[in-house]
Amino acid sequence: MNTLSLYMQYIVNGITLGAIYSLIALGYTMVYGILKFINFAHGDILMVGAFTGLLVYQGLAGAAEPGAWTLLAFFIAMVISMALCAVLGVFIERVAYKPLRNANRLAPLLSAIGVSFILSNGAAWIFGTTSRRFPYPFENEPIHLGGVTITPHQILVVIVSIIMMVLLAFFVNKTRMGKAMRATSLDQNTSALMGINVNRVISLTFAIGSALAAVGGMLASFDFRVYPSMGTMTGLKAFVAAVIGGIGNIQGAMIGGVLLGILEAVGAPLLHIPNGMRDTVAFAVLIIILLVKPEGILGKNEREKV
Amino acid sequence: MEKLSIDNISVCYGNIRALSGVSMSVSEGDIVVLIGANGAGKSTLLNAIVGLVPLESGQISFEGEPICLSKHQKLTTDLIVRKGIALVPEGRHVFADMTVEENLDMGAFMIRDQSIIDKKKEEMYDFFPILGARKKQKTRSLSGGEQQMMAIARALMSSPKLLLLDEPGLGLAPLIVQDIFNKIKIINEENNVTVFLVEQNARLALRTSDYGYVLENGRIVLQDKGENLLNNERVQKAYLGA
Repeated sequence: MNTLSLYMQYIVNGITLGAIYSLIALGYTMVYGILKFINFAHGDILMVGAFTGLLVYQGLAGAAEPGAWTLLAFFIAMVISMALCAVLGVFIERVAYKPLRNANRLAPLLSAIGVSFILSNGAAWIFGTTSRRFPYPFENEPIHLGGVTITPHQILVVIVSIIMMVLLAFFVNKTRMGKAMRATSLDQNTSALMGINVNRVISLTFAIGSALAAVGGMLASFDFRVYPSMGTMTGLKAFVAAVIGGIGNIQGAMIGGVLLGILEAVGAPLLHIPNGMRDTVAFAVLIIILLVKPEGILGKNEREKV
Repeated sequence: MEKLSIDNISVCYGNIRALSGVSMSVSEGDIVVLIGANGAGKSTLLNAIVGLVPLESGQISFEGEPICLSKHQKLTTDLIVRKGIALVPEGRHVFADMTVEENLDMGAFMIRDQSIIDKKKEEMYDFFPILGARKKQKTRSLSGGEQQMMAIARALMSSPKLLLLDEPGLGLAPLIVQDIFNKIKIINEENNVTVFLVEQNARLALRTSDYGYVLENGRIVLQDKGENLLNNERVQKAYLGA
């Protein structure tokens, strides 16, 4: 395999990985946009989404041969997982963040870290700590295109991610509630003056962000397996992606995720970074962004603490 | 008929008393003006009416129905404005990253019928032609006067019964301020909207008004018909530079 096709392969892998980061980064960035607060429990919601998806999928598909039914079962599992995570996200906001909205800025942040531990330890208690494989809902026979190999699961990841992002963009730009969400992130008091119920918009934001995290969690499961602490590193990197794109900016999260995926997939072999230390790429990129362009690619230049 | 009645309200920010025992009323169909210096508590009063600032004591009623009660606020801001009150906030507070049209859509958030929204938007583009010309532009690209017109148009989208304006002339050139006050007069007379506005530009505001109040250090010190206040010696000394 020549060098060019090798790097083409890395880019393809990077886009797949990046699409997942984007889906998860959207939840961080939407919540930050409205509440100016980093929801550190977001990564654990993707873990809950992955477990829910896996259990529903296994319940539906059982030991069936991969085919049309298993693929359908996968999508049913995805919808159920999205719904459950949306409810969980709204519940967490009501119980752990809303009472602290007028408190010191550090309080909801600490509360989020607490929720994160509750979710991951709760999952370890219920499901045990061994990792589980998420079976492919189809024959994952690689397809060779020139020098590049693409697996059907990569195509699934990219297509599902694109559909989700197009739906989100439509919602935010064209619908009444979507515009209300943008207005609320720009100016909460003035939004209330328009008759917008700000609390409802905040709940909706958590619901959508958490549903997208559920999708991201299920798609990440093919490569990373399912285990209680799976959300920690993936969530952290998605957060990095949101910062790269400009936290609070929805398009930024989409771009930041794909960019980070590509940088990670290409950067590690390019710089001869051993596989076990791949994660350093993401955090090196974070440090560089914070030094060079702290507001991110599409972010506005405003100073914010934590 | 009394549209808005403010009954002996007090507002505190921490230990600082911003309003003490303020009572006033706005009659249906009138333009009522509140004048006062910087820091007198004018914006606090408007924000209290829409529930953005909690009352320490007293009560505010709209069309005879209490909307703000002391201590435990009865209604949240979105529910108060749904009764038919719109506020054009100080400094305009346009949604700068949204287009003019999207801002007007937000003004019509409470209206569910798209055909009514479209009709209202056309009305606004007729009334403020500059907004029609710029409807697809981001609001941040508008000048200060244009943004003020947009903020007023946005408030009118919900067809309010009571329009509250917080210093609509702030930071604008005199000709534009005159233009805005003319528009306010038209809104009041032709659309039968009751107007309560707060202004530092006392002369123009009082000339436009039916009734006026003077606020000093959180207290109402004078109240009378607009023209009488214009001729009042104390008002002339303190606010008209005579």
